[in-house]
Amino acid sequence: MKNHSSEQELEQLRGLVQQLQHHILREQDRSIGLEHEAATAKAGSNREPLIAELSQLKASFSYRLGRFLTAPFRGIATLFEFSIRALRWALRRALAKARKK
Amino acid sequence: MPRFSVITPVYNVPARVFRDTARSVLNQSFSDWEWVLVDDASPQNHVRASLRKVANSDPRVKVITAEQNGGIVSATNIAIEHAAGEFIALLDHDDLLDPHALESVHNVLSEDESIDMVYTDEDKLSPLGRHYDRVRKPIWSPEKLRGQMYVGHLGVYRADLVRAVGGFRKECEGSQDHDLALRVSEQARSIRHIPEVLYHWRVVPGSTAATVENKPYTWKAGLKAVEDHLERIGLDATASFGPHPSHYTVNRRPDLSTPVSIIIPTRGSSGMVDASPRTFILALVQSLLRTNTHQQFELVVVYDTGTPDAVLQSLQRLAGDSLLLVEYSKPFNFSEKCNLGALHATHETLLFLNDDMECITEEAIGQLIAPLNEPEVGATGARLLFEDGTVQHGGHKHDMGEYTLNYYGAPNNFPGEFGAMLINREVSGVTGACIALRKSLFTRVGGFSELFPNSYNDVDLCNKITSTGSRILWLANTVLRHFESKSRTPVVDPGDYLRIQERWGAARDPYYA
Repeated sequence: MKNHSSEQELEQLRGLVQQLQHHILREQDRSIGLEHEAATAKAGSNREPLIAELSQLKASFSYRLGRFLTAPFRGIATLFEFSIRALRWALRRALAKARKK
Repeated sequence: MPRFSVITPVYNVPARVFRDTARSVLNQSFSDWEWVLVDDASPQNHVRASLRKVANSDPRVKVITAEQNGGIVSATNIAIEHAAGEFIALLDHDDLLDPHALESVHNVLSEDESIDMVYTDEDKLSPLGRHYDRVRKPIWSPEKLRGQMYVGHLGVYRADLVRAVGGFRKECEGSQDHDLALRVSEQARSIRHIPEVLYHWRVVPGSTAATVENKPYTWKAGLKAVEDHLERIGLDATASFGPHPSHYTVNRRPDLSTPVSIIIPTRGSSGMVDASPRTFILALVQSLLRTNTHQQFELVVVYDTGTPDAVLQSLQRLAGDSLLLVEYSKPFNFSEKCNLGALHATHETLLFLNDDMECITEEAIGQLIAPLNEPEVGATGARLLFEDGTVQHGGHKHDMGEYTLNYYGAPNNFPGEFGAMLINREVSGVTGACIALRKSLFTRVGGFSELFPNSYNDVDLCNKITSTGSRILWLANTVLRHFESKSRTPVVDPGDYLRIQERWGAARDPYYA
């Protein structure tokens, strides 16, 4: 009878230890999490001045003038790229046809 | 002493090609360098004239002429002998350095005195001047380097260390740079990657850049380099030719002696696989017992209240004394179930497996736990396949706040970007459906976060592991099947998504593959 009671006590103790270990595990996770959240928030706040700077740049006269003046060239570059692609496609097709023959 | 000695063995390089190479060195934005050129007794007369012209144009250029042709290893070793710089930068006679290459490397080296090796991203340059095949390299990844020469160009090594390891080896001619990278990395105090394209590999007919098949002897030489490396560092593993040229399969000897606790959360669900009904956990345990000879394991099955008694009884019959049943009576929380299993586990090595899995390769347990004997390895994961044989898991990609599975749904034989799926490699994370790690590390990082009951708990765990400085390995040749979504509909919890963003932000994946 005495042994049985000791076994029960041991089981209870084991359960308590496990609960404690579980609690430690959660706390450990929480502390690591908070540490990283703080670091992430800090990194995030650094982005704000960069975003503001970028908006300022895009709103500036020189940037808009630059975009305006280079628009035809950008258009030509895009057209050029597409025509190269079309040529390559046609060449591949012609080669494939030739191989079939 | 100059900061850099750029060294270039030269052999019959076309004059026009070499002129561009020379221009790329002479026009560097950083000036503290010397360029050591070794003419490997080129029979074509114009080579000597080209070299003389470059030497006359800048006092930092040294030209040495070998008495007889000795091959690339011999010529490079002569260059190393004559190099006076603190660091050696390797440049092939037909390639180009980015104008800011040496400046960028110098800036990184200035940050930390202990850096002994630096490598940068690179791309290829077609004869028509088109840049393509940008190689985005990961941060220092020794496991990946055993599988392929991913370090490539531009490689910059501390000169003293290169001499200390004996320079280039003749027996690895063809893959001499892979061999050198392996040998230097074994001794290096710190290795850094610069994620910028600072080297342009020009594709000329017959060069390795055009096709590796042009030089099959390089593959053989690379295998020798990897085998010798394994022997030197005492890694109990074998190396063999990989499925594609210039790739090597490195398999560690399965660890069959370390006791392991296999933790499986379950609710005893059933479904159809291969047109036959099965109870997932029973099929998993059967496959574990069938494909593994590992004797020292316990099965910690964390089952929901309400799991059919018949399933638990069948488990008892299958696993006998090695089974430990742990009841879970709360609402579903994957993390808490896994943590509970880990708290009941009696062994130091843990292997978490979802119940809807099936072992395919022999000794998967031994293979997954073998790398954990290396102190820098924090966790390992396996190749997981769907029922139809397509890829379910090839490692995680944690990039800019998005968490994705690499090559999800790709055919099993898909090589991946630059052969990423062919070799073992470091990854930012592996799925919680199959992850092995040490209990001490698991406890140290707070286990699976119970703030993520459904999704991203594995992402979070892996981020915590890598933040301790440990590496996570994805093992290409350890294969299990994962019948995801057959036992539970995969849904991303929006709350979990917001929480993971809050905790880890949006950084680039350092192992981008």
